[in-house]
Amino acid sequence: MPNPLRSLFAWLKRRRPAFLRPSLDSRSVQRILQERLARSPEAVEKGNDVLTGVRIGRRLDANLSVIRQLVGDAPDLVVRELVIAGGAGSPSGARAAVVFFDTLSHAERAASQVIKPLLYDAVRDGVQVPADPQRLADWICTRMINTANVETRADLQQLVQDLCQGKTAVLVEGVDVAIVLDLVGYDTRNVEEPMGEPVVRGPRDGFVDSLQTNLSLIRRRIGSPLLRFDRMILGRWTQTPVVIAYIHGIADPDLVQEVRRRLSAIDVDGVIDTSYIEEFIEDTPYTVFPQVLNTERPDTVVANLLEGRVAILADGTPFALVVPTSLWALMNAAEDYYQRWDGATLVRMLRYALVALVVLLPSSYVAATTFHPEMLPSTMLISIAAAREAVPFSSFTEVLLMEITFEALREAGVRLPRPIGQTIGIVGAIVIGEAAVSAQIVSAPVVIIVAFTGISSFVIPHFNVGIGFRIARFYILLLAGSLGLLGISIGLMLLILHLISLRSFGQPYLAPVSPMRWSELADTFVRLPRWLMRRRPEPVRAPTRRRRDFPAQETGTQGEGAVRASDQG
Amino acid sequence: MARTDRRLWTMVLCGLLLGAAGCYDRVELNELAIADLMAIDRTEDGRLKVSLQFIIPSELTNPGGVGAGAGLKDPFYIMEAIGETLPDAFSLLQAKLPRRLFTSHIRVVVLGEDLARAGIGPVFDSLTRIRELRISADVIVTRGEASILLRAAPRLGRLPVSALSNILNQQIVPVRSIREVAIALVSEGIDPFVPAVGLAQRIETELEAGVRAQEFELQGVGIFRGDRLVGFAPLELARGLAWLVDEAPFAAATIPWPPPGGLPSPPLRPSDLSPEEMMIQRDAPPGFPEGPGQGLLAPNKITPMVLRGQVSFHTEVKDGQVAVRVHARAVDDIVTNQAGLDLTDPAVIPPLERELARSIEQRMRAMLRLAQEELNADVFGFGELIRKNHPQLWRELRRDWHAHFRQLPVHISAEVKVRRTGLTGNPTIFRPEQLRQ
Amino acid sequence: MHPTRARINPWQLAVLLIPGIGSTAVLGLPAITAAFARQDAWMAPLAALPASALVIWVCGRLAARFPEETFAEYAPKVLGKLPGKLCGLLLFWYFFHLDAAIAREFADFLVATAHPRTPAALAAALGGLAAAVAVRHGPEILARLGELFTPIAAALLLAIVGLAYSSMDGSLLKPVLEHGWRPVLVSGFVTQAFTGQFVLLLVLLPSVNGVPAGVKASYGALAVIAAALVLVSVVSLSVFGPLTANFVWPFFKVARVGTFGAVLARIEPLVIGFWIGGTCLKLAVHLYAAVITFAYTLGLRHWRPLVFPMGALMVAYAIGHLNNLVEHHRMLAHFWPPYTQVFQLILPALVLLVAAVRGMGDRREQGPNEGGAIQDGKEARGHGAD
Repeated sequence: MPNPLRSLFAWLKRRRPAFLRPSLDSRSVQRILQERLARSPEAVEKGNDVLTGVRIGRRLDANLSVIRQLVGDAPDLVVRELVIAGGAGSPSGARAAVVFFDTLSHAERAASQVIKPLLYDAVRDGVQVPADPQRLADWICTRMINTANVETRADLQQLVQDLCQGKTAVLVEGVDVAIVLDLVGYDTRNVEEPMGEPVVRGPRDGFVDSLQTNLSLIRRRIGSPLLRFDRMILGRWTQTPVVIAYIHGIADPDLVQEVRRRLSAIDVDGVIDTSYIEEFIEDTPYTVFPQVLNTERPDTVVANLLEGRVAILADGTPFALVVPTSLWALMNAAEDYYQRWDGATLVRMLRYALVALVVLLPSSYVAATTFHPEMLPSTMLISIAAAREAVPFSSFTEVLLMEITFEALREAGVRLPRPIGQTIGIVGAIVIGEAAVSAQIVSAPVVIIVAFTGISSFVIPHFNVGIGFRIARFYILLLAGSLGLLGISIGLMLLILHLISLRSFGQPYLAPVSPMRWSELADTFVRLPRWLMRRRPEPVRAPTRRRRDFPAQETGTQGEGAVRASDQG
Repeated sequence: MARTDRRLWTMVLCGLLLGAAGCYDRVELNELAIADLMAIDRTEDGRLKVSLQFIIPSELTNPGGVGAGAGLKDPFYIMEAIGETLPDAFSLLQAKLPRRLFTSHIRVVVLGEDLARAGIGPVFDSLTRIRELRISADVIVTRGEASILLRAAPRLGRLPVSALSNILNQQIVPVRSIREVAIALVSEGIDPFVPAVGLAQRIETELEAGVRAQEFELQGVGIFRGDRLVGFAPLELARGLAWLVDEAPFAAATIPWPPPGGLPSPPLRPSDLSPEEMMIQRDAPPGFPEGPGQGLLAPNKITPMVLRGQVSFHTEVKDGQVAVRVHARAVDDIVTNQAGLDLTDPAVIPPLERELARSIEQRMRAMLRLAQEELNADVFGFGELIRKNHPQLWRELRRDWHAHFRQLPVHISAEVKVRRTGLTGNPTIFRPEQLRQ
Repeated sequence: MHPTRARINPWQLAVLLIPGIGSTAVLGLPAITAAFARQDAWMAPLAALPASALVIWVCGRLAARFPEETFAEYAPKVLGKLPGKLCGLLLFWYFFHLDAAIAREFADFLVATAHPRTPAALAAALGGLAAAVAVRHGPEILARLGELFTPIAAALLLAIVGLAYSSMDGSLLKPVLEHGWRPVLVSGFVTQAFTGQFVLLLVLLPSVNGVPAGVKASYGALAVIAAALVLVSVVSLSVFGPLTANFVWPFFKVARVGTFGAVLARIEPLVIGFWIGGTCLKLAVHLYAAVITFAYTLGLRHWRPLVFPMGALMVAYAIGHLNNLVEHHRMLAHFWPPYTQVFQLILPALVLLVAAVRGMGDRREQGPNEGGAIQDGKEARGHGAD
């Protein structure tokens, strides 16, 4: 059924002369708008035909009523109507309204920086208010309002959007544009040390939940003008601002383009956290291993930007995403770069050894005790055999039970308030560690192994990789329980095969070990001194591979200083 | 993407297949009867009697009673079976065992004298062929029946096998594993030998009345010709054997001082000592009436401890006659000086070194005599040495090697360096004026 | 995707070939060669070097003449359609048969060392499965698997040697050349059956970045394999002496003997684990070669769908046809060496000879026109195959 309204708007959309675009001045437009909104509220949503191209009218009352209606008479929408007063000789002042959400904007700043100038300043200074509406708008923008950021909007939808994102609008009778000011002010956390990634030595600030603050944390660290923030809006309903950050000239343009492409292909109703984005842009969705690095540390983001990677930040979350990444990068902690290289290298090796234990220790125990007892040293075999003497379960069941118990304890402890969380720890230690062993439900070696494995799993700096390895542990455990050493070997082989075939934004997941890139090995199992890490990693194009070189137009000293500052913390 | 879907399916399929593959080899530890010591005897009708000592793990870690003595239960028990072959006996044993027989942790294999005299070749085929057995297990031989040895219950350590293998590992006599014996059995021009262990004389003190305690004792070396035991070398000679196979024993070897036959006359390095000095020493009185400890059976003794020892072997052919030259070099530490020798005097050391060297030579010669003349078994591998150095000559000798071995001229020499004199310089029990120059 | 589009760099080729050829030889070869040459068996790999280098040279020349083409593709051009296809099938049969032998060895080793009651068929099937999964990922992933695997395996090998050092007795290697050169040469001929497996290059070289560098890397891989085999032989012989020939997998026994205090007493599970990994890789490489050769001989467009059926067939053949361990090892020692020479050396050399006589493919001899024509033909085929 042909909808005359729809075809009308479609036609209007195709032909764009301003005078032909529907303005709120027309009563019919107002009426149609009201009807449509009553029928389908989602019409407000961006991309819907109903609002597209509708202009703000000259009549203040009509504008205000439509705006009120569009936000559903929100109780937190402040509409302050006033009369612009001028000095002697001014025509009687034009009516105006300052509109903002007091939940998002700074009401006091609106009062002092917008309302007060309009009401008093012209009077005080004896300035004449122009009568012509067009000049009036310019006059307000240029003379009256003392905020840093002023724009005008003609489009109704854009205006509502801006309001919803915390901006403040000034509408004036007889003027068909709205003046939009950035007085965003809402409560956010203070910048503080990130909970999940603390360091002993190194920068202590972490991202907060406000995009603006987060970008400032990055911009502060990179003095170069070549730092780029590309902004986009994601989420049909949340309209979340998302920023792609990279350093122009270091980051591979193809990579940036690919990030942009993948982000713009996302169609989702809301982006609450960057993890929503992560799931859409991963190369391989069917895997337990994350292919995107997330961090709440601005210094980590900056270090990655300097290595030619791209960061993705979203408003409302302290977690930034970094692509591409590799397993090795996910196994590194920020601390590694701030401690001396020799200590950091040893810590890294310890970490890799412990991860190997996380994956292999329980399964090796099962395989050794149930399939290959001849491979255990005699004394160890005897003590394990003694411990197992009265245990009713098979080794495999025993380990599986204890592993599940451990995971349960951990899960129970994570989200509980701290005092109760400690209780869980105590109960776990006493009930599982002590009672189960003395009741001979499980054997002591299994408790030791599971506990050690559990502790080892905490050395993985990035929680989500830890989850991947923990799942891999169960998979290998299952194979070990059914096929012993053969199962472990085949399982490990398939696991490695899987890891090798993964990619993160086209970069092999296990690079630079497989494929081997000798110069990049300096920052994987070991961390060589910084003066030996001369080259940036692979995706960076040839001209800027050397870390000390900067793009031609860069002033050099500044950039160099930024590297130092961020590197050395 | 269809490809990722397929990959997912492949993984799921793999997982299912692996999971469903079944558990062919599983056996829980508490279903195993862990053997740690095996004794093999020959019955009178020529079959094998295999005795295995099994560990009872729960007894080992949780002793039955806390109190001393009688409450303590043995953490092991012994079972026997008689079969035609080793695996045969194993399967008969299995019929009596409530758990699965598990032989991988056998650390020592004891061969009975009868079996050893009858030939160990067939047993060694099984020992090297059976997958579960470790070829690094030590082999020993015992006088009489091997299974008797399993009844030992050493007081130190709860498992007899640990005590046994610790005794073997003291480097008193050379120890041989299944692998090494098997190599000797297969090789030309070498005969195997293994340590001989027996039960120590039992001493029952009042305190220990009722406790079953019986210690192992290293008694020497069993010498084989081919795969047959031909005799035993006592512990003294076994040390000579250790030198002859270049595994210097870590043991004391006391010499009298001054030596009964006078000081060694042809010094190895005459320049070290002027003739006058030697004269003085040779003229020194044999006894030492003023010295302490004259009531002891063996006064005037010096005991060195070998710190390091190395032996080199050479062959030389003269007129188609081959001869072997053995030269031992040792570094000693003096641990006892009852003879009142002034060890702070550098001039004393060279004659002492020569005398020590002579004692080593004597030990080697004694062993060589036993092997060559009495037992006619080339446990030193001189035949192999000749085969390696003179393959052509060996081709003539190999057929009748043992006869040639009996006649083989072996020149033995030794050289000792005294590097240290224990923790003291001068003998603590002598006054300075009593010291012998 | 045509496999020659996948790019392997020369280093990756080398680290793929090392386990792809050496992994089965490391454990078993010393026993086979020691049966002929006794204490001189360690010289066998050296004796095999020239012939193996010749195999690489032939493969390299062929690859230079027909860049980006596998044997199965250019053989019909060189020999004429029917004989060429026949040669392709023969080569396929070689890869297939060898792969089955590897699977058999894999299963036998596992059953003999770690899983006595597991049916060999299951072990072989699992190995085949892992290999097939790897092959489906394509040659690039295989190469990267090699990259990850080889350095660690090499370190492990050296660790075993280090641990076994105290049990080694160098005098067991004497007398040198007790029975002259003949036994050494015979055992070298046997070794050639292993090191001649470089004929894999007929399939792999087209995927390598730069044929000359690839050939150079192959010579390097040959040197490494030969060195490893010499090392393994020396160690096995000096630990077991004349017993070496009696064991089936002497080097595994070496790992059992090796000790370093009480801590590192049992290193054999590691050996088994790595051997499983290495042999799976070898299975995979040969399975890949078999599938590619088969697919291109028959002119099929896609090779990936063949992987799993071919793997299954291979395992079935391994279990069904190659009967028991004794037979298998007798075959490896007596029948296998002359048999494999046909495929490893004679077949490629024949094709190279004919190509040289007919002056095909070599641009330096032919001038630009001929080369251009081949280039065009290849591109047309490339589109079809994708």
